Amino acid sequence: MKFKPISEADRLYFRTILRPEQMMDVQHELFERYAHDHTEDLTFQPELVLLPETKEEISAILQYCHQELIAVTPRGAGTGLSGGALPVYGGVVLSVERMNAIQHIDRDNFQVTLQPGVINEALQQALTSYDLFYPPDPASKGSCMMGGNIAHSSGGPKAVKYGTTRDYVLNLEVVLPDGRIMWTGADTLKYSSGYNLTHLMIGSEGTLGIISSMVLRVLPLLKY
Amino acid sequence: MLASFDSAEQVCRAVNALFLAGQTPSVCEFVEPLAFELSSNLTGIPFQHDAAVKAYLLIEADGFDLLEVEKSIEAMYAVLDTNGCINVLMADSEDKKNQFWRLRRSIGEATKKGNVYKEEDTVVPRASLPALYHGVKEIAARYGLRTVCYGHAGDGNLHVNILKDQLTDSYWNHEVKEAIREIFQLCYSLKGTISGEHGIGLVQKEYMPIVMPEWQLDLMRGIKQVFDPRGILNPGKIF
Repeated sequence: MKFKPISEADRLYFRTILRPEQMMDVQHELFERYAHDHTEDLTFQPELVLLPETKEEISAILQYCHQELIAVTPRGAGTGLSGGALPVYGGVVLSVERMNAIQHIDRDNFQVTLQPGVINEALQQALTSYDLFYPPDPASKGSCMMGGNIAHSSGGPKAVKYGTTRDYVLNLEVVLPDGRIMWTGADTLKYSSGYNLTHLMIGSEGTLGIISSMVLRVLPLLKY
Repeated sequence: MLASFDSAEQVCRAVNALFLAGQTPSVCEFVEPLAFELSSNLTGIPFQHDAAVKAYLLIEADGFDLLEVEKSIEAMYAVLDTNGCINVLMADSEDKKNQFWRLRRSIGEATKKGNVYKEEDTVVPRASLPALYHGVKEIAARYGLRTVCYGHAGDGNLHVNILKDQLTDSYWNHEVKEAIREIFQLCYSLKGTISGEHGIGLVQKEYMPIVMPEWQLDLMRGIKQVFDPRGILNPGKIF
């Protein structure tokens, strides 16, 4: 695969859509962390790290990279064990870590809407005060982010009784590489309206689109 | 509670017996003794290992009603007792429970500490877990590898950490990959696959042809092409 190295003109463009603190260059003290995840001792240097805060920003970044043929590696917390977040072709690492809002907790429908940078355990804690429960608990639950959980269909010890991430995703807001934004399905427990794009996105490891928001099914909080 | 057994087979028979008895534990983890020993060394949590024990099963129950949870624990205890369990340690306090969990959750860190490793995420139908476990050990012995195995007995998902120890880089990058290939071929022959919850990403993609033919990978590539015609998103992953 042949990608365009990031030029000064590209940097200038990204500066028009992002604030300075949403961009990291190789001189930045935290830049190094984006060159590896939790997979073995593997390291790949990105050329630029971008930290969007909205779906519109993700859309603008992707649209530009699509047009300019710049590789984009999406990233959550970088706790993955298969090298999914490694920027093997350099280019942009697009980290969703700043998109960490729990947007809506809906007790009437037992649903929660949140952004991809929410940490698994933070979601669990937030739900507890509403007497709600989200079961999937990967070993890295204290640091892994929900966008990554969906990208890999993460499991965990509770899967034996409660299933994996896949069993709790109702609907996903996804930004496509050309910048279009879609919801993959509906916020419903039943879905029989054509191909199930929600489940196609789950486990797609950031190769089809970037999740900018998600609606998850939750359970009543267990007492014991 | 932490139950000990004299074989991995016995663990799986006991797990099946739990489900047949209508019990669904909320956690049902398989741990080999070596894994707990390493974790105990790291955390400083004391762990008494009996040489007769070849496999451990960490079980939890949850629910809305304390009496029901206690009844479930008793019922599971009875099932384990009649299904080859050597001993059961009950986590009778929150402290004890946290200790069990710290031991379990620290295994990954303990095995990797100060070592280069590869972590595999094998998964098979749960009754085939013993065949997978023994197969992994047999393959590892043949290649002279040290492995630490632990995982989710309730869903047949066995994590296999392969440690580099004193192996040369060349052996690690060639022969060890052959060993992994054999482990994954075993998974496939047991009607399982090469990743249960970690994904394919970069490091497992060379093994994808073990579990599906090239034309099936082409179907995936075709889907990718529809969504991402210029191939800019996470290039180099899965296939």
